[in-house]
Amino acid sequence: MADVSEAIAHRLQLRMRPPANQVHPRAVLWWAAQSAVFWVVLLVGLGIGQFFADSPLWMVLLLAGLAVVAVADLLIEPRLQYRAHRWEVTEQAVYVQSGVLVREWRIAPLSRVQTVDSERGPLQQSLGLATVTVTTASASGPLKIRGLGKDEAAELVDRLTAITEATPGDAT
Amino acid sequence: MTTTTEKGWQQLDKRTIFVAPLTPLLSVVGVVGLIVIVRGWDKVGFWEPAITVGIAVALFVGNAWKWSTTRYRITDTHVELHSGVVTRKHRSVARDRVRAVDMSADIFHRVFGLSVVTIGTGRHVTESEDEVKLESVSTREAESLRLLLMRSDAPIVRDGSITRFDTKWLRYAPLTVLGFVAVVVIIGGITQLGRTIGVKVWETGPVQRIFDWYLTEPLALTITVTAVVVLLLSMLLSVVLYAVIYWGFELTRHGGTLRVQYGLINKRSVSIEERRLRGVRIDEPLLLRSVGGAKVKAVATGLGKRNSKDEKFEAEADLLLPPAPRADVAEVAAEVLKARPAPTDIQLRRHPRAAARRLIMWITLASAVPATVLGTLSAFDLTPDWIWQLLLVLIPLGFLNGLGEYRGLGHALTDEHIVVRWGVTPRTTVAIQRTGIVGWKIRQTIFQRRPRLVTVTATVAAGSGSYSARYAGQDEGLEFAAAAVPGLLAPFLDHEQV
Repeated sequence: MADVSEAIAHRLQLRMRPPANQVHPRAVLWWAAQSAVFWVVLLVGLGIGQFFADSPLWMVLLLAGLAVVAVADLLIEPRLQYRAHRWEVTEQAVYVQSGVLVREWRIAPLSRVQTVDSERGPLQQSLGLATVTVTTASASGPLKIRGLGKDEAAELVDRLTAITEATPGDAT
Repeated sequence: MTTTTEKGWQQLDKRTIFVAPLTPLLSVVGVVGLIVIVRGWDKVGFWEPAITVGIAVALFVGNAWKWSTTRYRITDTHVELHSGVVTRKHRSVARDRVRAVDMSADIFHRVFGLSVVTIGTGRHVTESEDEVKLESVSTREAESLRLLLMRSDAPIVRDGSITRFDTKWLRYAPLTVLGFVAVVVIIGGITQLGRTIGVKVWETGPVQRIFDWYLTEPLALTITVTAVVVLLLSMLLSVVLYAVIYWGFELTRHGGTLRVQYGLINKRSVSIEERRLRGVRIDEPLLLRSVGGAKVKAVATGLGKRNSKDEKFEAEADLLLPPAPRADVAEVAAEVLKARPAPTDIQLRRHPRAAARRLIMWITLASAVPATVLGTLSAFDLTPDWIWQLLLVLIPLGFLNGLGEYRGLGHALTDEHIVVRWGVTPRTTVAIQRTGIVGWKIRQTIFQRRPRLVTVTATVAAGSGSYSARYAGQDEGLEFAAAAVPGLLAPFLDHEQV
């Protein structure tokens, strides 16, 4: 290992290069809608509780504070997600970057890809988005590209399926 | 045993009808016997024997029916099993997807020369759906099935025995948790049994006398005596159990297949095709490590987390060597991986000091949580003070744990394998074939960004599915991944001149 490492890095710092493509800009709306559902349920629930329980002032203020946090989260977090979530497919591999607080880069060689699917939840359908899932033989979970435009997703699935079908063996 | 290759369907061994119900019957007879002993003969009426006989007859009839409706066959392409009493089931498994043939036999099966054969493809999705279980066939038939299904075109590499049971291994038994588990199981079992037959174990004479003794003697004495008794008992039991489970252990290689056989009463035999083998895993639990012992497991496709229901004490399908001395461990690892010195034995690259600081900090912080929570509660007079004071002990333990975690970390690259190590108990060292890596996962939390630490995970279509070099330095970690599988990670790296 020693000679390999020395050859690669001499006074060089390494980092993962951001993948080439971003997902569809409407994905921001999708992520925002998802967390909006969560916040609305939480805040309305708490609000109703406080209305009937005749709660003291500090609890009302707390709720108001929470509402401010919710609005900030809705405005900021989806944009950070959008910036973080990037993908790329080369001749050899699928490369996906994701995560805001915990950044994750995943690489799967096309020769080891077993299945490629796309799925669209009701929210995604209304926004014309899709999630592409790339599964390898490993039990450690698939690669997911979330929030692609639906045409782009369909095209990607076709392309990857064609490549993986052409690869012999059971990809283990 | 040429009949196995015929197109026709075959039945299981006829003796199964008689042998299979014996184990459940034995427990029924045992329970009934206990009831009779506890309650006395005079209270036995008509129903107890009637129910016992009824259960026995039902078991035999049910088994006979099951036997008569079960057929299996092995065609050129598939293993098929057709069975069913009420609902008919048909299961077939492609022969080229068979990855393990597991033979096991309990005491009754052995007496009658029968074996239960489990033919697994070991997809990770579900365990039972993807295997064919033949319960049971004659041992001769089982053997020929194994040979037929595990036939491989792989070149023969030094066939023969790799390691054999040595009574010296028994010295490592007391340092396993086998005995302690056994003590707990026995106490639990007695209580449970007592409840079933309506005897309050805790109120019987001997137990009451023990309670009285606990109440009258000073606390220090009772604690010491209890500790010594439990320790001695569990050490004794672990030696006995070790011998019972692993007696006659032998790891052999034949025609590209590794074969593990062991067991004093329940004979167990597991075959692993070498072309399905992706590496080995060495586990060193804390106590075992302190005397230089470890156990070896296979990382192979198709040896999932199948836990056999037949065995009381987990006897894993991926076991290559039970707790044994370091020298045997190294020998098995080297022989199985076909690399000398064993990749798992080489000096690993330590992870940066920044990793130590962070690991120790996080683990210590986490271990302070219980004391903080209960301290807050007791500030409001909700819990007594001594609880949180006692929980303070966790904090130095957390510190030590963090230190241990850091000292365990390491990674290395050899000609054919990557090696990663992590953990305190067990400390696990895994060597994976570089050609077996089916992808990479690089993770960096926001706290790891500034100190330039990453967790580099190789995904593998075997074992737990992924193996990580945690808290590696960013440069070393990425270089390691790039060098391990040429051309896979490198195109996605940026080099920055500093």
